[in-house]
Amino acid sequence: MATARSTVARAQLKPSLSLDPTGFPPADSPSGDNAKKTIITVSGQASIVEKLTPGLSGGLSTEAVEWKRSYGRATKIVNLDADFLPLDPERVQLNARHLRDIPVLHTFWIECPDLDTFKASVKDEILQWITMLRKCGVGQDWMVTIVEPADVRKTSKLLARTSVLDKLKQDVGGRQPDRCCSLIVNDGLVRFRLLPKYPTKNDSRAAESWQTLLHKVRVLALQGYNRVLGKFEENMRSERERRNDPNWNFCDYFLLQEELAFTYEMLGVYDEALVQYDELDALFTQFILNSNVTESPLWLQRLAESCSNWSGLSLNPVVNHVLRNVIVSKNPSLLDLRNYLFSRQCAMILKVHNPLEMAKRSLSFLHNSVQEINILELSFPKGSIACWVFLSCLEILLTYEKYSDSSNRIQLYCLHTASLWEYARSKLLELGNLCGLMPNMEPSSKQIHRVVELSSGIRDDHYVSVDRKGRNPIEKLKEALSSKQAFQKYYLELSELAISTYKQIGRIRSARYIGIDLAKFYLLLEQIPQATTFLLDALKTFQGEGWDPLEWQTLTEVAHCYRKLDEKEKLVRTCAQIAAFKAMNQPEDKEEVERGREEKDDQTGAAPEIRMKTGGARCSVSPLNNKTNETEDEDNAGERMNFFKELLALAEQIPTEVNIDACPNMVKIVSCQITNRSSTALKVISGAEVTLALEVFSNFPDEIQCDEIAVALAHTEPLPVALVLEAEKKKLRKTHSGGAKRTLSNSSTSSMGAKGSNSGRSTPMLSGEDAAASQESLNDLSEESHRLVIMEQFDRKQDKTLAATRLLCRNAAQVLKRKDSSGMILRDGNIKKSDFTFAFRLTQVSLKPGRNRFELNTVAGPVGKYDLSQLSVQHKKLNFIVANLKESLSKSFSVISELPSMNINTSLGELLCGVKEIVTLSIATGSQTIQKGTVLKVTCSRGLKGQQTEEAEPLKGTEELQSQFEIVLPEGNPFEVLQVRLTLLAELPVATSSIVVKDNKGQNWIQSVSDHLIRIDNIWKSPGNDVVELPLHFIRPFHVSVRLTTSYAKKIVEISVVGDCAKATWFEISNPGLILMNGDKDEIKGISLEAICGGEDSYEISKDGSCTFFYDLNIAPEVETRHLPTVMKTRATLDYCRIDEISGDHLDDKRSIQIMPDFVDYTTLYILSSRILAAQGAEICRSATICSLILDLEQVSPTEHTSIMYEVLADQAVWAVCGRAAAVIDMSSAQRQTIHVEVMPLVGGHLALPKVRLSKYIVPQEGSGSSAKQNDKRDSSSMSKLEPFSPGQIFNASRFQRVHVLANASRKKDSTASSDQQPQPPSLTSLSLEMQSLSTRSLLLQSQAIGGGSNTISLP
Amino acid sequence: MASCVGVLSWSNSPLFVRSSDSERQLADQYALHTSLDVIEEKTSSSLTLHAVANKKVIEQQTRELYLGVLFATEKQKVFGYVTNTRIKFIIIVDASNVGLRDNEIRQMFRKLHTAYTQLLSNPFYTPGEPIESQKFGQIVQGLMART
Repeated sequence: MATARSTVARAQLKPSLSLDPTGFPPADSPSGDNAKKTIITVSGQASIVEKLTPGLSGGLSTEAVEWKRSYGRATKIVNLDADFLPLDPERVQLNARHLRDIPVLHTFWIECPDLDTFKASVKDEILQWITMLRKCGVGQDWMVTIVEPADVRKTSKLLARTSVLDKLKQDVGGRQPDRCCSLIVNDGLVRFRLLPKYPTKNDSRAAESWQTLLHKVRVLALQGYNRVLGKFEENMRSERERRNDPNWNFCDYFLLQEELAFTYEMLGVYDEALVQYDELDALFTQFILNSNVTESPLWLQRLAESCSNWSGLSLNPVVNHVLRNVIVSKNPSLLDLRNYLFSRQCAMILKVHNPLEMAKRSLSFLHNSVQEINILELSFPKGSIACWVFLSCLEILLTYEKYSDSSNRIQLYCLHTASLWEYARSKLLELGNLCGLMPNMEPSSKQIHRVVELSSGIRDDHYVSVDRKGRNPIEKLKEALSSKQAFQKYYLELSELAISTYKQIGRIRSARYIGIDLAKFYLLLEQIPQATTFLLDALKTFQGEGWDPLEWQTLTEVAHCYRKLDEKEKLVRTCAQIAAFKAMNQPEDKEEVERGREEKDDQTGAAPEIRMKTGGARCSVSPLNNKTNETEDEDNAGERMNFFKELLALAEQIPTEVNIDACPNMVKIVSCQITNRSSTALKVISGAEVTLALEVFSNFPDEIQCDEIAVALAHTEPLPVALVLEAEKKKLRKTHSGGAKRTLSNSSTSSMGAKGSNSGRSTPMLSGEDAAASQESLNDLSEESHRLVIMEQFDRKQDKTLAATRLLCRNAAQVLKRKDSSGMILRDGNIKKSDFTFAFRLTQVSLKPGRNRFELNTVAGPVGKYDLSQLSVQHKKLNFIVANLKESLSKSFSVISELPSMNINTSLGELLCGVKEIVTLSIATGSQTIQKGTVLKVTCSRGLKGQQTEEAEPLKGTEELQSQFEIVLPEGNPFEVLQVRLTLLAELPVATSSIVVKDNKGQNWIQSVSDHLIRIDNIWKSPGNDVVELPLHFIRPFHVSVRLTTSYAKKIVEISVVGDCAKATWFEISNPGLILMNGDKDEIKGISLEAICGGEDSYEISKDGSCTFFYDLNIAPEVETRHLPTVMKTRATLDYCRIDEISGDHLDDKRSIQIMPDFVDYTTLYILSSRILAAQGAEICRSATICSLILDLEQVSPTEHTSIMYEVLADQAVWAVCGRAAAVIDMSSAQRQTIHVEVMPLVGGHLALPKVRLSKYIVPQEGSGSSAKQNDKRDSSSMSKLEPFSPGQIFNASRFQRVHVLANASRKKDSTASSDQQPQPPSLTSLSLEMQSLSTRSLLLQSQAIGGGSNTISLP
Repeated sequence: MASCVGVLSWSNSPLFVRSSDSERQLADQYALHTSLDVIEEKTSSSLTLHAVANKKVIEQQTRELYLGVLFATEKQKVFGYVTNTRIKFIIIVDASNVGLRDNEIRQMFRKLHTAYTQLLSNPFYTPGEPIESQKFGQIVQGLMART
């Protein structure tokens, strides 16, 4: 019976992965357990079996089948690959350890064409076979197949349940009829030889039966497995329970359980196989861990005896029989067992293509193994474990590389390999040290011997993985240990690999850590630049995260490198950093800490002062618990001192100046304050001395003699005016609201707590209410500094015409500069020194450790803002610089130049014209100093005079007021306000500018104001050219008017004074006078003025008070009118004086005002009186009856206008003029004329008389002018003209008279016009008697009629 | 039990480091520093590394403060714990302590967290400053002494 050893691909768990990418050599070695297959026995008709088995073994593996497992285990899909062997009753029992040799299914094959044959022989044969199986104890896993020809089947198709199969099932199958099946063959069995794969395509029935058969074989075989494995496991478990038996040996058990794993592997259920190995692993580990506690079993002790082999792990997926045999011989070492176990685990893992899992396990496997060696206290020779780890690492890495080609998983891959590389590296380093291969060593003979010894313990077999150069790990190790050069080369290679792998997965810190190790190696190699690079990288990382001890360590190494490289400048910087290293042990700190320790628990961390003093420096994380730390601190202190001394020594040696960034910890500004001699520290004038009170904390261990300490000032040009104004306004608002004075620069900074360790910017701590205000102003400042200052710029041509306009941004560079990184770039201590042209300076001082107070001075430069920008502490050629003060402190002062400004304050509110007033001229000095005796020229506008006065109330003084005068100024310091008093007197304005408007009541005058200007030469700006104009408003205190009034032929002049000023100012009006003016003479012949009343009295008036003076104008009757002047010029005078409201004392000089009114037509020419006469016989007028209007016209003064035209202008609704309404009267003939005009009242009541208008009737003068003119303009020139009289020339005596008319037209009685005309002059009493019904208003009007035709001249 | 206990600030600077063996102090510092790499890896969600590897696992990890073993060497194991305020607690345990269970480590972290919370309640302690509290120190001492 040939069992064809097929090289068919081994069974796969997943059909899709059937192509093995690993390229392992096929498992065809004779001893290869992988070649083992499931065993199925065949019995029965030999000819059939011989023909069928090749097809069966080929066909079984083509399809996977679901393996339903017992004990509720997860079902698996399995590809069964089986060998068909003849039944050997000796080997069917499950007594052997070789699980895989046990057949899982027994099959019986027989040809049986018909039922008769079956009954005759076949049945017996089958039963006999089954009996034999039962004897062997495997009676359950059987299967009987009957091979039938196809045609036979067809014949017996009609009969149900009569086929051979049915019979078989009935007779043999019993309870398991499915274990019987039939195979239908087409053309006899000949076909089998030709076609290994049965059946042909053309017979579907045969094909179906073949497939069914295959399926049945698979399922039944797996069922057989269930039974077999169940038994095996039971056996295995009981074996395991015996583990505390002294005779029990782990190796035996290992081999037993591995058999199970092998079976699973054979079935392609690799995960189950892995589980078996994992269980073994766990069991073994547990034994070792327990060996710590209890007495270890014998086998474990024997395990520990052999320590002569430290061959590395080999991950050949093929079972390593060398190792396995060691286990079989029960004489493995721990490493043998571990190596074998892990290699098997990896083999299983790799078979399911999960190299990641392998990588995950590998590191802990290595660690655990090493740990186990320690636990068991195995006495491996020095370095042997390192060899093992190194070899194993390399093997894992090599294998891993092979399996993880897909580049997209490179990151995941690196995640695990990185630490392996690192592990290998560290082990190689260990070996290097042991074997004297380090650069600074020469291998001694002992060490060479050790190399030989180490090599001898390594078995060189079973490796499949090789690197690119075709070396396996052992070759690599041997090469590395062979010579110093090779070692170095390989070590560097490994280190770089580890670093780059760590970087690849972003573990920078781990990479840096290896970097430090590598740097040490480079240092040994004397390749210092490389070492420095690695150290600096690490340093940067440590600094960035504040790992002080590590930073310290690295710094010292860096310094060492620089010293070797002779890089003085860098060395200086490093020395400085070390010397001032975080002030690890400031004495005061230590004291505080000591004290803190003595205190109770909850108070320890709570010493705020400590933090103040450390100034926010991150304290070193030096443990406080043990004394060794303190000694360490002392060591540090000593070392710091050494470096400090080196620093000072270097300061003289170095050729050029070195700028050192002292910012982080060397020198720290605790507080600073800008002061100025004058109190306004914020604003300073150019040339003034400014002082900076600076408090600095030095972290250096000892005193430094400084050549100079300077604080640079960054100068910014002043902003354009508009912006300044805006800023000022803002500031003003701020100071008002805050109620605090400017605190920007003179607020004292009590401490510079750079809290919140990483926030670069520190907030100065302020006290009291200043804090809020200055915070505000700080914000304001930062806001301002973040604002783009955009301004216009005009480019003009030579002729000053505009050529171009543009917008400029002055501070774009500052606002838009990068803020985040600018500090970091220069972190290595190389810092640029800023412009120290403007700087606070102090020379030759010593900077002591701890706090130092300095006063630095400077002289204010040109106008602009000065911000503190850098602190520089210079010692010989060293320059310690603290930069970016502008951001951290934001202290500044401004140098300004402000021109004096002038302003006038009126002390008492309104100014009045006509009296002396005191005003105060305020001169704000700005930034200027004003010399004593500086003279200002003042020019007043017209009508205003003034003088400088000293006292507050000098009104009675006699000094002369002038329209141009000079002011002498007192001495003035910058930012003072000088005050100068001026006495001013504005003229009472006459007529011209006053606005006389009557308001509704017709009584009050609207105040009138006169505007004046004071011009002062601005001698500071551009002498002689610029003038400051200060406007002043003066209010008229009272109002004077002069009028001429008429009563018949009499004329009266009235002078009235009305108080006009708003405030209650009292004036005394006295000494009125009115005289005539006639050219040079003060009189006019024939005219005289006579005061009627009040001529001598004085009156006191105030607002709205008034007084009036009357003068009678007498014209001598003998004087002819024509001799009188047409214009009568007069002069009215009044004296006034401001008086005290209560006492009436004169407050000022008496002053007089003069008004010169002119009067024309000042004589009355005619007196007109009119009355109504009722119709004849009647006494009273009645409406609708004709009455007569009688006009009496009397000439009282001689005049040339004798032709007078009268017009009766009656209201047509009231009067109807029946007679002549107008006519010309010649008055030359008679002095008095009476005219009758017939009129008729239309209504009843008290009617006003019809108005009568008199006009001059000018007759054209004949014969005058040329004849031509006459011809041309006859009409116009020959026509008579009417001209009105001036108001005072006609006196209408009955202007407001009324007549009583009875409205009784119906009686037809002859009405009698009852005129109430009264003889002249009209008596008010009689009028009132007659016209009782008239309103008071009429009465008033009546009384005004007295002055009917008055000639009024209004005066202000 | 623990050979070194470290408290690191949110900005990764050390707030408190204590080693049981002063000779190993520097090495412990290096170990703490390198463990930051792994903490960052495990806590940052943006990192695709773990997300790809095992999304579910990382989700669980971010939900939990305890990060488990950060890394291990032959001699020691480093465990990590990150509070919600990104304060990192790191405990280094000697690898010879094989009997140590995960639960015990968790318990140690819990104690440490409680101690830190109490420390923060002290008004005189400014968060982010190095821890100088003796009480805290004693608790840490207790963690290291317990066997």
